[in-house]
Amino acid sequence: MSNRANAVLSWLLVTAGIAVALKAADRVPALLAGAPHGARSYQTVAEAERDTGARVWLPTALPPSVDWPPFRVDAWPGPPLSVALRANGRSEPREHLVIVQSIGVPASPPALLLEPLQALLVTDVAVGARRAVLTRGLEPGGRLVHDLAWDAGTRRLTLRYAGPVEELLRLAAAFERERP
Amino acid sequence: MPLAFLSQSILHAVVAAVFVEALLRAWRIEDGAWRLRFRLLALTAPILWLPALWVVAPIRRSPVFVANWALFAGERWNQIELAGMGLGHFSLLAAAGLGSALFLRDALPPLLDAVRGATRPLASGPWHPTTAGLRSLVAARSSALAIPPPDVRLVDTPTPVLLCEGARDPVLVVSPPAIERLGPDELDAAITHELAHAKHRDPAWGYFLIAIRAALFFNPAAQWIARAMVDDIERRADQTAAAASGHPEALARAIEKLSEADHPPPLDGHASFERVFWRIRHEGLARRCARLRQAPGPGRVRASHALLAAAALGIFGLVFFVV
Repeated sequence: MSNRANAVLSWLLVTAGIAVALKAADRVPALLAGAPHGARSYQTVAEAERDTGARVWLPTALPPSVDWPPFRVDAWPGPPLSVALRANGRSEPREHLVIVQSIGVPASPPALLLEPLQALLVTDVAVGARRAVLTRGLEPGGRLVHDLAWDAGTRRLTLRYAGPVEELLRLAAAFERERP
Repeated sequence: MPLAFLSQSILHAVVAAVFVEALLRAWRIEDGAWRLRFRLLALTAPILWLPALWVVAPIRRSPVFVANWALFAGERWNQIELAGMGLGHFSLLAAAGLGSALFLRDALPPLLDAVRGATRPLASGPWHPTTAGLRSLVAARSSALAIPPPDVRLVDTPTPVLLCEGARDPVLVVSPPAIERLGPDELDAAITHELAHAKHRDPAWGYFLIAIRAALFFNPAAQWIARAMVDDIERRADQTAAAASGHPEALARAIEKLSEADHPPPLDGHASFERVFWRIRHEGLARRCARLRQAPGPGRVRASHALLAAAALGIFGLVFFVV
């Protein structure tokens, strides 16, 4: 191999090796914390609001099966900025309700905050005066859940709920009633 | 100064140090002068490039850049808490402690020596027999290296001293035990080595490096790069002296003898870390002498400004995405 080719190949290998090592090391905190990589995780909504500078909308009424406040708040800087509130169920320490809101621009939740469902049924429903899309589907783990998504001004709200769909619709309606 | 800046200073120095070390090994660059240039390039990452990026590219600090583009983001480590503190901040504190310890370990002894006045000059005018003998040797070797002969100063110490000092006007500092301990060919080679330091203005490099180390005292990677640069300065002087005197073996013997006298193995009662430091130093000297005794092998590639530019590009490309 020529002198120049040797030099270029070594340079490429060293650069790529260090870049890969950095990227791998960068994934470690998310793995250890069990949080999505790239998103910033917070213990409370107040912390997330302080750090992102955005106001997070909260539900005014919740189904009794939801253990509130959320056990974790994840923020994805976007664009657009998206915030996910995660709450467990009261009877089981497992994610029961996820509320994702894109802030500034209505947008679908990023996959790292809310993994896409394998949709079984998609229908249009009303949430207050707004149109919403209700999706019945399977999570990657195989659990049956419902997603309800609707646009509210400059935000899109997406709720994922592992309980009865009637409770989800009531939650969304209560959520919407309090908004201007 | 924000913690993020200090954190990036350390991260950038780590990336640059590893990158340059890997390239030097991959390209098998053995020339001390070129190695020094590459190391200096690594040192510019925390000194010049980070402040420049901080001012010119504030987008690197935006949450969007951190989330989408960063190869490595120090702040992500704060998601994990250790004793009520984010792991990122904890690591920063530990790294700053390590950097300060490395700096103080090298900077304190000469400072204390200077304060205590550890060496005092001998009455060594031109009439002194040792000085006269040395002067003729220094004159001959200086001529071979194409430099004006520096002044020779004898100092009164019980340990062997043979060094070059003085940033503007280099002076050869010698103690009688150094002359007594070395054979004629070893003294010749050792003097040529010190004159090579004078030729390359290495004492000025020494002041420059200690100033950089003081400014980046918290940065262990920068401390490591600066120490590696000192090794490369020695390597360059070794290579210059070996080429000028033609006796690398004599230089290797002189280095071994002077080092043995100056840094004898610690006794059993000494703390274990002292033995570790001695061993590291001893192994470094052994490698240095082995290099002198070996015939210089062909590098895998020939060092050039193009390679230096490629290394600069690589460092810049990597550290831009390390936040």
